[in-house]
Amino acid sequence: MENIGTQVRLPISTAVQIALQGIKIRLGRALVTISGVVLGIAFLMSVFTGELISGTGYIKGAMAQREELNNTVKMMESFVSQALGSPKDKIIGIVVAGELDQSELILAKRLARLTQDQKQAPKEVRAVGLSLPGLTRADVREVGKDASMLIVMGNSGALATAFEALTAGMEQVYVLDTYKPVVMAAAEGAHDVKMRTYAGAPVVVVEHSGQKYEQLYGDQQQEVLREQAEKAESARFRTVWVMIISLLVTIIGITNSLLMSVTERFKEIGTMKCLGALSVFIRQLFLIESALIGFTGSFLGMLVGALLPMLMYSISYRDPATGALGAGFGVIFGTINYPLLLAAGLSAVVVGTLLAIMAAIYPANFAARMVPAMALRSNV
Amino acid sequence: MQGMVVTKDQVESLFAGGADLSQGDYVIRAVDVRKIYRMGDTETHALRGATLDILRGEYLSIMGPSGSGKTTFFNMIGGLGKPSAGKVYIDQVDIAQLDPYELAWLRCRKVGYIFQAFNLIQVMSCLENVMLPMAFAGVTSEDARDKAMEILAEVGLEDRALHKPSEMSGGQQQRVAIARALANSPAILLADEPTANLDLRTGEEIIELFSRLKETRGVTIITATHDLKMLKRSDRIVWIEDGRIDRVTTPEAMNIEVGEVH
Ligand SMILES: Nc1ncnc2c1ncn2[C@@H]1O[C@H](COP(=O)(O)OP(=O)(O)O)[C@@H](O)[C@H]1O
Ligand SMILES: [Mg+2]
Repeated sequence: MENIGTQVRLPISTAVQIALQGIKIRLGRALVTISGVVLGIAFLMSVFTGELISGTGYIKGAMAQREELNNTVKMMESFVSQALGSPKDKIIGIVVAGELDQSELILAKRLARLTQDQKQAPKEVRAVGLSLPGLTRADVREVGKDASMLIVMGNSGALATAFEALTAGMEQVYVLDTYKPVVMAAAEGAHDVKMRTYAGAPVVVVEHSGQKYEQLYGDQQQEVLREQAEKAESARFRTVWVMIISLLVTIIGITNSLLMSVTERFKEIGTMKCLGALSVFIRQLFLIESALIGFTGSFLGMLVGALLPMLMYSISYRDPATGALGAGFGVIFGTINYPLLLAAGLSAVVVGTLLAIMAAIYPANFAARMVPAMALRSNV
Repeated sequence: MQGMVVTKDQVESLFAGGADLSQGDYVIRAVDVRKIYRMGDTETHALRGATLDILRGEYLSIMGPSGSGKTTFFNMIGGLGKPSAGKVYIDQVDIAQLDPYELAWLRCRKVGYIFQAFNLIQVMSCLENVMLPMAFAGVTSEDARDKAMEILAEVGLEDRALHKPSEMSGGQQQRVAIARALANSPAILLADEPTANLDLRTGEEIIELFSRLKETRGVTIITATHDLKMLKRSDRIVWIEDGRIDRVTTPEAMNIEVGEVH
C-alpha cells in the first residue's frame, strides 16, 4: 500500500536506554527486587564456595582435607585413650619406620605435649627415629620395655627390627600401627590373626606366645570416611533441594515485581504503542529491565556468597595441631581453588541473569499484548 | 439511521476551508462503525453504526455526554482498536487490512495522539518525551533532538525542555504532549478531551494552540469534548449520542442553540 509503510525494529540500545531510565525512576522497587536476587544468588554461591572450602564430594576443599586430618588424629587418639585409659604414669613407645605423614606427626606432637600436663603426664614417651621436645630418645631394643603401648608410625612397609624384639618386655601389648598395617605385614603368617570389634571399631588382634597385640585396623578409617561421605551425600541432596527452592522463590519474586510494574505502567505502555512502539519493543523493554536487575543482583549476590563463607571459615578455623584460632585467613584464602571459584562465580551470575530473564517472560508478554487503546482510558 | 449520515454535499455546505472537496480529500472515513465491548455476559454497544468523513485540514470537534462513545470512536478512527463491524479508512487505506508493523507505522507517523491525562512518560524529560516517537520512527537521536527542540519552541516550551513532566503545570504538560504528537509531522491530531483536566483559561490556550497548528501546519485536528466553550474554534461539530452520530453542525449554528438554551 503506497500510503502506509512498515514500522522498523529499533536497535536494542534504545530499549536498554529506556529500561535503564525506568529502573532509575523506580529505584526503590528495583532495589527490593535486586535484593531478592542477591539473596538467592548469594545462597547459591555460598554453597559453591562452601564446597570449595570444606567439600568432601566431587571437589575436595582445603577445609575438608584439614577436617580429614583432624578426624584421623582424633581416631588414633581415641584408640590410645581407650586402650590405656588415662596415660598417667604409663610408658608409651613410638617407633618410626619411613616417613611420617601429617596426622602421625600431629599425634606424636600431642603425645609429647602430654608430658607437660600435670594431671595426665605419662611417665615417659620414648621414641625411636623421631626427636621432638618432650620425647625421650630410645634404643630399638628398649623401646618396648615396661611400655603399655607401642605405636608404629611411618610409611615403610617393613620394620628394620623384628616385631618380637620391639615388643620384648611388654606385658599386655597394645600396638597402634597408625593406619598403615606395618605390624600386619610383620605378624602375617607367624601369628594367629583374628578380627574383633574394639570399642565399636574393627581391631585386629594378634595372638603371639600368650601375648596379645591389638592393632587399630586400617579399615576403620575407611569406615569413618564412608560414613562421612554418606552424610555429605544426604547433606548435598538437602542443599540442592533448598537451592532449587530458593531460586524458585527468587524467580517468583521477580515475576511478581515485574507484573506489578506492568500493571502500574498500563497507561505508559499503551501510550508508547500509540506513539509507534512495536509489541516486540515493549517485550524487549521488560526483558532487558529484568536482565539488568538480574545481572546486578547476581553480581552482588555472587560477591556476598563467595566472601561471606570464606570469612566465616577463616574466623572459625582452628589449627589441627594446636587448636589455636587466627591462622584461618592464610589457610582459606591461600588454599582455595581460585579458578574454580571464578568459574562458580561466573556461573552464578549467568544463572541469576538467565533466571531473571525467564522470570520476565510472562510479564513481558503480558505487557506486549496490551492494546494501545489502553492509553485513552482515563480510569486506569 | 441513514439519515444521520452526513453526505459529501452536506460537508461541502458546512465546511468552506481550503481542502479540495471536489476530489474528496478525506483524511479519515468511518463507514457504519460499530463496537461492542463484551465483558462476561454483558455487552456494551459503545458504537451503533457511526459514519463520518473527515476532511484534510479541518478542525473537527466531537461533542457528546460522557459514555456516549467518543473515546471508542477515537480508538476506531485512530487505528487503536478494531471495530466489531464497519470500515475505517485513513488516507484511503482500510486499516483492517494492515498488519501490526504497518499499524505501528501508521500510529507513529500518520496520527498524533493527545490524551486527557497528558500521558507523558514520567521517567523522561520533556525533550525525551518529544524525541520518543522519532526514535520509534528510526530518526537518529541528534536529528531527533534538533527537531524536538524546534517543536518545543513552537508550543512555547523551549526553556523547559529538560524538565520532568512532574515539575510542570497541567497546561505545560499538555503542550509537551502536543509537541510529542507533532514529532513525526502527522497528518492528523487526535485529542480525546484534551482540556478536561485543565482550568478554563489553560484549556482555551490549548484550543488556541490547536487552531494555530491547523493554520501553520495544515494538520487535521479532531478533538472530543463535552465542554461547549471549547467549540468556538472548530470548523465542524459532530454530536454523538448513545453510540450514534446525531448531527453535524458549525459553531455558528451552535451559538444559536446555546443562545436558545440560555
Ligand atoms: N474497554 C471497554 N470495555 C468495556 N466497556 C467499555 C470499554 N470502553 C468503553 N466502554 C463502554 O462503552 C461506552 C462508551 O464509552 P466511551 O467511548 O469511553 O465514551 P466517552 O468517551 O464518550 O465517555 C460506555 O458505556 C463505556 O462504559
Ligand atoms: Mg472518553
